[in-house]
Amino acid sequence: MTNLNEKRKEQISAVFDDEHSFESRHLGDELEHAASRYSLIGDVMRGEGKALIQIDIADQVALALEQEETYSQAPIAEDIAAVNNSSATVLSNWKKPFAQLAIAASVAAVAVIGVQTMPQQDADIMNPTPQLQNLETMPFGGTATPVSYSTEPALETAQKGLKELEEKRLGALLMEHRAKRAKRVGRKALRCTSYGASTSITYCTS
Amino acid sequence: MRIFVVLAWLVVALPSFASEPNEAKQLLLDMAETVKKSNFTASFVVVKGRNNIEPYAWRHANYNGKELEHLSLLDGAGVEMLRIDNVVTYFEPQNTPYSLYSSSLAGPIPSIIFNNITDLEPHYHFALGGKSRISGRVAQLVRIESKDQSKFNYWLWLDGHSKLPLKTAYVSATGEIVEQLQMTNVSFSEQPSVELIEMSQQNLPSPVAAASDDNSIETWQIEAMPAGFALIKSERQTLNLNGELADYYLYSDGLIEVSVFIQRPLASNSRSKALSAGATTVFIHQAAGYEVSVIGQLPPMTAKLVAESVQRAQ
Repeated sequence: MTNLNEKRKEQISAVFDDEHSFESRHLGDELEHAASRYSLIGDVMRGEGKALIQIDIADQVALALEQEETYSQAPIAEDIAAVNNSSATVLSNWKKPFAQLAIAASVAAVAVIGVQTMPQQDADIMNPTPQLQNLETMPFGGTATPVSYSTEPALETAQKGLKELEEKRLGALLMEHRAKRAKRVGRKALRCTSYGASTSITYCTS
Repeated sequence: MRIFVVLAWLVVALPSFASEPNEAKQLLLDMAETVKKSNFTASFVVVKGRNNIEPYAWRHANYNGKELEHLSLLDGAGVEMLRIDNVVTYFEPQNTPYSLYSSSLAGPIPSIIFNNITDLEPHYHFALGGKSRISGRVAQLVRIESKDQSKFNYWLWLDGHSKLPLKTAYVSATGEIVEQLQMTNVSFSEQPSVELIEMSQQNLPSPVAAASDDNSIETWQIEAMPAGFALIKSERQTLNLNGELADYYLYSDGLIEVSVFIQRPLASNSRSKALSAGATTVFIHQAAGYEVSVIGQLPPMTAKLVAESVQRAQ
């Protein structure tokens, strides 16, 4: 059966490759579906699929923005001037919209390891050096719900707000850690001259 | 007679034990030298945990007597770092571009690996591992092993021919790889990369010197920091992103950096928790009236002990 299907699919493929006409009513439901897929593949490969798949939405956004009412003209002019003045800022400006996304990603990238605090205290008494087995990984926002979690709407909203604040704080801390690391690497270079230890780094006086 | 045999064995065997760490160290020094002197274009991925992969592009060249280096995170908003000799410019999505005086980039490979690894010797030792096939080439394993079990070990697989790192990994005391970096492509060239030269000729922000530490604070005591970590910086600061106030302490043992933040708690009933991304652990400890967050490439249990040891200074 499968072999038969494969054979018929091959025939359809051949029909498309050779650009022969055919009547789709001879085909079963499944094969008709296959036929439409091959046809789409063909279109895309010949570059006719642009109307079907619109990936570049910049034009549409630009159009929408043009129709948008202008609230203040001055800051925009300043922005443009700033962009023209400094080539370095250009890189950052196009990335600005992604900034929030990046923070969200940095938060999402860390997985929660649930620490079973209560049982562990018991373990501490019996075993003074706690083992790593007490930690287990959990999906982010998994079963580690606070005790006071409630289905009451007001409380639920408060919990949600708290979670957002926690995520924002986490993002801020991760960002700060990364920035401090970069500065620390810089400091190392500065330190090396004061000791005069490395001859290859003679330039780090500032 | 038996004593003689033991003595003879010692005479023969001891020099080989002694020379092995030197050989491992020599390989690391050769690697740093290769990286400094070569023109190459490489790409690698950093695998954190089970399902987080970060792809990077890495270029290095020597041009007009200057070292040029570029590292770019290819996913998401990305981060770009460009080094021209001793000035590194960072392009980050959240900040305006800035430059710092530095002889290396703050990339995923600890910068000390390319600089002065001798500084690591008090708290880590260097050991040779076996040979294996990495990225289609014969690679020699060099292990930077922590002398105590409170920290991760750092392993590097160096290309047998060029000495370039083909793979690096943070390995736990139990031998489990928690985060790894693998080269997917390396190509050396006679001539420096044209793109890199063009990049270095752009109008870049002028470097700012690191601020002096006159605003250090002594509000807190951190008792359980593992051996080898020294306090680099302490300050009371406002976080960039959410404007919250935090007391901040930065520690380093040369290989890794650990940040400790002390803030007011967000809610009275919050619970302590640990989060991890590869080798990086975030441990948030709820103490009486304050919240301690420890961030760094530490095992979760070490981060927990550090966070729980924070107390108000007497």
